[in-house]
Amino acid sequence: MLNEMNDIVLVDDNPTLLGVLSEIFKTRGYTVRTASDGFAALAAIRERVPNVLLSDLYMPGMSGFELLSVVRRRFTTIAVIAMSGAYSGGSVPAGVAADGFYAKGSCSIAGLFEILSAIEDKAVLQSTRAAAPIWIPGLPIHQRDLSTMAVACPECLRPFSHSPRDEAFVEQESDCPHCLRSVRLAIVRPSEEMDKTALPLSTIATRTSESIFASYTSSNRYSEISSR
Amino acid sequence: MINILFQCHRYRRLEGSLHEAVRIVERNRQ
Repeated sequence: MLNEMNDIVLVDDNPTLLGVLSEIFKTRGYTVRTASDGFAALAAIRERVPNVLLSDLYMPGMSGFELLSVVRRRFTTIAVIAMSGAYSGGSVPAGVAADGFYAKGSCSIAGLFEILSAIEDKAVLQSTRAAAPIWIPGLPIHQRDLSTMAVACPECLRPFSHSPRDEAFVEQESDCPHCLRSVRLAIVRPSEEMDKTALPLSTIATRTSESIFASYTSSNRYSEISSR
Repeated sequence: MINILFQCHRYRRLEGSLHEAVRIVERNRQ
């Protein structure tokens, strides 16, 4: 069974973690490539499309949230597992376009291989993908001014500006001026206890303390989004 | 790196978490 899914790309901004994981996968017969953020991962995928992508969520540059969303749209054959120390439990966190989730701070490494086996089941894969949201990063149009942000419509992918009405908001809706779809936007704040092994985390936490994502499902119904 | 980790019985059976594995490797490097 593993022979069908033995080409894997691992993505994490902690080089020690990447090294450990890489060697474990190699001892299990996998062909392993590694990347330190989403942009490097996309370059590796472009070079050769892997069977499996295992990615951290909170990383500098392109985050795992955005990477997984891009991969879901561009490389639909790849089985995707998100991993993070910021979440616990076995279910895929809201807002993450992945087929499985590995809580790297609490779940055993053997558990990771169980998740891999589970997502080889095509029925499981299809059911998790049916409601997968699309992650869209938000950027302040003026530096340090979050009153107006640029977001991309998850339906037509065109950018438009959005003005949050209240900085303390959790969720808002906005209409795309291009395709007129109603888009749900949510402020995401990384958890205090996120990802202790990510060494540069203290520096990126401030930078990513307020980001925005839009969620839109293929069935025209919004998926559940929760503030983190 | 993997040798350091697999000296630990739990990791030969992949029973520990990834975070714990990273801590073990970093501690042994120092």
